[in-house]
Amino acid sequence: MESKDIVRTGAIRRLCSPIFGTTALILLVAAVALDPAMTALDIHFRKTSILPRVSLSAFDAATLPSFKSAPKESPFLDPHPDDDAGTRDHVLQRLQERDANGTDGQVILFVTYYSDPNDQVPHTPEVCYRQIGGVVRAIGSRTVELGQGDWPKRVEVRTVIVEQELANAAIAYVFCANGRFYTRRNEVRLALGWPGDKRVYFSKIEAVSRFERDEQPDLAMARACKLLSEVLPALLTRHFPRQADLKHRAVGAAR
Amino acid sequence: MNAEDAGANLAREADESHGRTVAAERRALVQALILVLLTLWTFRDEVTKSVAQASTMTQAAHGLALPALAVMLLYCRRAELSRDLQKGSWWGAVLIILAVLAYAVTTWPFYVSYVRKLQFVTAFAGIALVVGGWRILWRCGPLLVLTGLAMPIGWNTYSTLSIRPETLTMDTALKALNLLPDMVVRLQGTELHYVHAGVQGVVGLGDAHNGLAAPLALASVYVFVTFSRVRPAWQSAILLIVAIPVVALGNLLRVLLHACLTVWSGAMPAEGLPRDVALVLSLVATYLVVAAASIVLDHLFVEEGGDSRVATTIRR
Repeated sequence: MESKDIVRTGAIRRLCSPIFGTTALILLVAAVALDPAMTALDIHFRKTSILPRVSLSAFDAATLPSFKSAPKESPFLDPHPDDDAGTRDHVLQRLQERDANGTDGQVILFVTYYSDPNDQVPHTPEVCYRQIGGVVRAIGSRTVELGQGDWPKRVEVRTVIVEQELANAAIAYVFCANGRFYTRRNEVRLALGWPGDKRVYFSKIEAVSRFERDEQPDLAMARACKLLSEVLPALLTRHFPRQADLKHRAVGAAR
Repeated sequence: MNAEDAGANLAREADESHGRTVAAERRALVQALILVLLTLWTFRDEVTKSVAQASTMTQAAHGLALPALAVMLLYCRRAELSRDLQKGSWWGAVLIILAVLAYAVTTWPFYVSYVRKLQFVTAFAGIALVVGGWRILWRCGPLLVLTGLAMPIGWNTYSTLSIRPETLTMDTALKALNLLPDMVVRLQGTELHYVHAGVQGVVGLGDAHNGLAAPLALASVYVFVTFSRVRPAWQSAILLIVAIPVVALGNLLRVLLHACLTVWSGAMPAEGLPRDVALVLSLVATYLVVAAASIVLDHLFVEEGGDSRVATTIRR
């Protein structure tokens, strides 16, 4: 071996300590194998979409014990910021407490349903109301009771108070992904990725109750939460897919 | 052995020791470079995305300055790094494995872009450990913080995080602006609607994302200035404690300047010039505040200690 080679081998040996060599090898293997492995896993375990049992456009407010459809002329209500929901399967209805008249006791019900695994989880009210001039004054959470049935007895929902020019808004919302309830977008994304189910759907259920600028938001928020407590069982019973149907792929669905 | 021989021996030993130190430094530098390049190659998908985001989104543009800031920070702290260089730790390899695993899991099945980006921080921490041990990891802390601040946060996550501080900033700006003569301002969404001397207009403070982007840039400047020189741990601690109020005030200053420049120049609501000028001025103001705080802390230290070692530390 020539002296130059000896010097070069010595330098490389000094450079490649066991720790450095092992770490470099780990990174090298990861650099080569990570992308193809993740792509293969994604393709193999890709989830497919599932339609609702009954389209949300057929949502019937008459089935709700405490609410009815509001009269069409409702000067109190602004257009909803999410009118363009990014899905055809949605409900946007103005409801009213059964014992209320005029514009009293009104709530907007807004439900969107998505089943393409590549669909974006929709924006939350605290983000999108700001785009139409709202100022978010409070963000919190409440528990609503869903009563007896094949669903959780209690569900945590997120509450938002938005100050607006005409009337303030008390908003309560919750996400439902494959039959489970979440209050944050990232939780929904994690739920959609969770291995197990072969098919996915997710939905955002939102109730918006207006109140005058000089009023306290408590009554309006209680009304919004009450609507959610009645709407969620109705959606799970009639519209959203059954849990058993999520466990296997649709016949003929491509992987 | 006479005194001359002993002196020559000592000089030779010192030379050899210096040579070994230089060789160790060079070796560490080459190892770090190789591992950083391998990390960038492993996470190439996220590197490409982050660079594209930083190039097209003004709110993430400060991320482009990260490599330059990192090199400058390392250069400024080279003496400390050289002194603390030790044998590498196997925990570094463990951290790098964790970073790769977390990157893989956030690629599939749980695609969470920001957590995926943060794996650069974990991997760089691992590299510091592998190359120079725990003390080097500690010394590289500011660099890791800068890396974390440079990662663009997704729009929705950013908006959700920014709502409370941004609303507070805009409410405070509203109150301050309403104190000005001939000025009536009200807040609508993320816009300030004003009437000034009978002229109506709108200051488009931008959507939720733009609103809190500046604090990340301000925080980057703050971290860089704080750690660009060697200072005692208590000084660093004080500077870090006051970081949040300084950054919050810097952001408030930016909003106020943006509003005033828009009102007095009669600019359009979403015009870029007032926004950019306000941002640059607030960055300069933040820099001056940190620099002033550093000078005050240095002088306090010398006066109270009165020790020659103190002066040496500060000079170094």
